[in-house]
Amino acid sequence: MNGQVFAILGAALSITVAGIGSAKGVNIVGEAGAGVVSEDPSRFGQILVLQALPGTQGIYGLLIGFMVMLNLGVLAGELVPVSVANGLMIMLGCCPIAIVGLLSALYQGRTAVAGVGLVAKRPEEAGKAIVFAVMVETYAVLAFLGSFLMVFFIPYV
Amino acid sequence: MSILKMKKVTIGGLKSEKDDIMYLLQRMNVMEITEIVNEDADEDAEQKQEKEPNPLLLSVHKTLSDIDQALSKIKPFYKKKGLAKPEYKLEQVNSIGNEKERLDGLLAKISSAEQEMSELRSRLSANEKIVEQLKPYEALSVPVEEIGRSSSATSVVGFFPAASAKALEGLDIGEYVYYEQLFEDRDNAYFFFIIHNYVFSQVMAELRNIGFATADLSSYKGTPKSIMEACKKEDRDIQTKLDGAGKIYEEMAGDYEFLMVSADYYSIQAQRLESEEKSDNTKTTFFITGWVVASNVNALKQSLENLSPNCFIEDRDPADDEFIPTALKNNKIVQPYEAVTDLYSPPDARGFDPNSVMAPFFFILIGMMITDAAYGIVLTVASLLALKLMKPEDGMMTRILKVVAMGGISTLFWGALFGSWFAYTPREGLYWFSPMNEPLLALVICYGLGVVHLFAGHFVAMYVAIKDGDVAGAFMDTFTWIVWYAGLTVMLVYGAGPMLFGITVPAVLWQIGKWMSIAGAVSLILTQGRAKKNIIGKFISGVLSLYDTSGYLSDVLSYSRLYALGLSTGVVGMVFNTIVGMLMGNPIGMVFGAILFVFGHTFNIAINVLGAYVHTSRLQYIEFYGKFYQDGGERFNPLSLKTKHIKLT
Repeated sequence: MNGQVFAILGAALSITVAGIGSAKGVNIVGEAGAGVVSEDPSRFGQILVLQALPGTQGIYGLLIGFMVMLNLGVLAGELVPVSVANGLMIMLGCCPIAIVGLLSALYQGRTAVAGVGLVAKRPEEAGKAIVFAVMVETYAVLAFLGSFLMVFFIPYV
Repeated sequence: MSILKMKKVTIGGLKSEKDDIMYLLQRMNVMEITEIVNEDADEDAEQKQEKEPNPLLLSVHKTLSDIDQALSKIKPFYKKKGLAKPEYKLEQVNSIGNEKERLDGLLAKISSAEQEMSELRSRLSANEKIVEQLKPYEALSVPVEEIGRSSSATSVVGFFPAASAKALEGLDIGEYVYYEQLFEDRDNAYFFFIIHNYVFSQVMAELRNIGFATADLSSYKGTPKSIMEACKKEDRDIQTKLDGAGKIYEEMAGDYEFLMVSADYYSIQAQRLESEEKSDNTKTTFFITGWVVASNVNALKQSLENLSPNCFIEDRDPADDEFIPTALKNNKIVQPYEAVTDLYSPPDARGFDPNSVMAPFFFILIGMMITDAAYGIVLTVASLLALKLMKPEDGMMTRILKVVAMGGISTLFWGALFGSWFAYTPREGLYWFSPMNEPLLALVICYGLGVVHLFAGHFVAMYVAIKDGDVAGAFMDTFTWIVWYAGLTVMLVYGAGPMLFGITVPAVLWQIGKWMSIAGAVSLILTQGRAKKNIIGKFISGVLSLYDTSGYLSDVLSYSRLYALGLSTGVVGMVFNTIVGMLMGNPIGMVFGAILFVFGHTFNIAINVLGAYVHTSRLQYIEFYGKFYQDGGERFNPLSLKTKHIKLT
């Protein structure tokens, strides 16, 4: 057993778990949005923006996974040997974006669904609905920052 | 730069001149007409309810909705020239609006075509139902009118649930019955029976037992197959007719611009009539009141006098408890940023216009959230191009595009500083440092910007308090905090400088910071409890107020998003560049690589501009406006010539 396994596990987790959150978040906004668009197709653009918002967590997860792959040499075709301790640390470093990404995407999706209701009733206030949803994203951004600092600075030896 | 002074204006005149006066107001674009408030408000409210809607207004709305419907039908056939709205002069619009007969002719043509088409469509759906009913019996060679009882036998068509069809074989119905299966689908099996009259009722009873249901086809004539063919043939005819009737919209493509102009002509009329609804009328005179920017009152008076000697105009300052709409005047550069503030809420008309203070921060922060020089160039060029080609009227869209165009310049600046061009890093020495490799320095820059932003907020709060005459409050509730936070920040710089960057900080800084924070803390303890009655309460509230310092910390840390969002832009770009790099081995890969490069970076720009715009707005709304902003205004919205489809020149 060497640390590479844990590092890859961390990368896979951050991509997978945050991605699941985003998929679900985007899904629920899309369902709510389809109902509004069936009544008023001209709302499509505004709702699409709302739907896109919970999608960023998946991207953050991918970025962290990518950083791990890059530093581990996956993309260069030759893996850097990593000790078990370091590998475990890299995996733990992936945890913030995996967990916070999952949950914040779900919650942001719910906020965005409420925003879809707002847009349905008062289309001119779409900007405010977007701001509400983006407030939730703050914590995914912070988790991304935390994970990034960890996976970037933990030594790959 | 500021919120304009408003005057409440009342205009009175002869009813016969009402239209001219209203049209003048609409063209001048200076007056927001409000409901007239009578002293005896209760009586007035009752009158309002009884007030009949203006029949002219109703008919204008009806025409408008008819035209809108026509426009949406013709639109697919109309070939637009360029992206911008067509331009018309007001006189042209009025002369086109007066071609009532042409408009009525067009609308009548459309409504008769619509009626014809809906009849044809209902025939189509009737045929569809017939085909659906007869489809299972297509194999039947007997004309349906011959089904039924004859002298010796009775024929029957119908169906079983698919599962019962097997039970039929096991049934003992003897030689007096002939049957054949016509069709089978997922749910049912369809059968044709000829049953000798002698055993008819017993056999039918047995069949019903296993789920047989007879089908009633008595309304048709001929074999099912021939009926269905007739239906299909008719369908083809109907379809040809439908296509022919639909052609009308294609033919009308030439009238599309006429209809657009007419729509705007009527919507201008509707706006005027809606404002007129707010007037107070007697038999021969009318009165309207509304808000006018103070500097425009004289021009309005002059124009009204020129129009008619019989009208009267009077202005006064707003009363203390009156709601005043907010009219802002900012220079060309700051004005687009009003869109950012308006999304939160326009300032109260008696408050302070934050746009000119907010704009430079927005400009700096949005660039730092994207941080890619090449993206900055793309953003500026794309936004300017959109403005040039679409020529949108001055509204939310234009302003946001301008804000993004300026943000592109700031993005270029930050991107060049941090060495990122389409996420590629230039040669050493051509940039300052890479935030990805030196996150601490990057974060410190973010927090530094945040501290400047927050202090600006506190100073604006002081300015606003002094402007409102609350000098004591300005010093006790704002300046004390400034001193306290400044002292803490200086001490932090002294402590963190050597630890993080190995730079030596002069010891005098420590002394300055120490004494500032002591002075701040003492004055806070002394002033923040001043509302309390006894001395102990004053002291405790004063000490507890220091707890708010945690809010300052979280405000500063909130600026981490500047770095994190810039970082995510950079890493997404890097991901695409790495994949593109892998594809670059052979010619085919190069083509795909180029496509992926364009697509990937476009995607990255789009998603990050949205994020940067909203997160920058958030820093303004929560961290900055939280310090001083008096919101709750409503934008001044004068009666004007608003158009939807065309641009007035």
